Amino acid sequence: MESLLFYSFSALAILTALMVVLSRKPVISVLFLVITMFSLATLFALLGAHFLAVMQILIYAGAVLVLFLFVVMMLDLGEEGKAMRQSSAVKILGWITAIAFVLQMAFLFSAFPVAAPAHLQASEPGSIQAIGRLLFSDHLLAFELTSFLMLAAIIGAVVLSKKKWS
Amino acid sequence: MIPVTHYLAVSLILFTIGLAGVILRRNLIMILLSLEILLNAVNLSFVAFSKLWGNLNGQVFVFFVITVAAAEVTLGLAILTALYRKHKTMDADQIKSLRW
Repeated sequence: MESLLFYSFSALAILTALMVVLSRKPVISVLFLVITMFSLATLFALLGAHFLAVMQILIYAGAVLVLFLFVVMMLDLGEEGKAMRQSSAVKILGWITAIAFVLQMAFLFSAFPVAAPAHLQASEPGSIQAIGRLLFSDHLLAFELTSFLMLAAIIGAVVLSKKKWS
Repeated sequence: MIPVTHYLAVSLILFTIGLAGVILRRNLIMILLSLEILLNAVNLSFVAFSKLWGNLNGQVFVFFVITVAAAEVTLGLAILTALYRKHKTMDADQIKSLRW
């Protein structure tokens, strides 16, 4: 059951991510990215990170992608003629980068086998209680600083989208 | 029980797709969307390693990454709308001026 869920949802995530990159209309891409986010939330839940699965759906599918949809519809972009870059230098550079990245990661996987020490195998679940305790004890300062980050983002968005400085 | 390497392989494939999108697409909105794929691929590997080592700090880090990504999208889209208002295009190749 677990492997069925894992393989189907990871295949779904990869397929929809490909569609996001390949699709010509930005609206279609955003809607495909919603499916990617949902399948990634399923993978998080399979890994026992229930809190993050909920956050993924709430913040990414609920807030970030709705924001994207608003902007795409507001700007009325329509269909692009040529979705990909035309300059061949950038294209070749892109392919070289991607292939080099994959080879590098494959080498890392084969050179350093990923395995935890035996005494660590019994991992604790990512329950909301455990995450909350960690957030409000060890990471309290960083957690509070995110509020400043949010405030700065709000002010920056308002300033940037102001039409004219009076 | 799925081995952690399979999650890492999914994360690697997603990261490569996102990287190709950032480099190859011309539309600025599509570049931002591909950036989101990149962030999510990294988040997946964080959670997988967090499960492997039984250490919840990885999940807390993913929480912060999601927060920063939300702020980044807000500012990025604000900049994009300002750029579109000025240049009437979303093509990354056509927006060349650093200031106006």
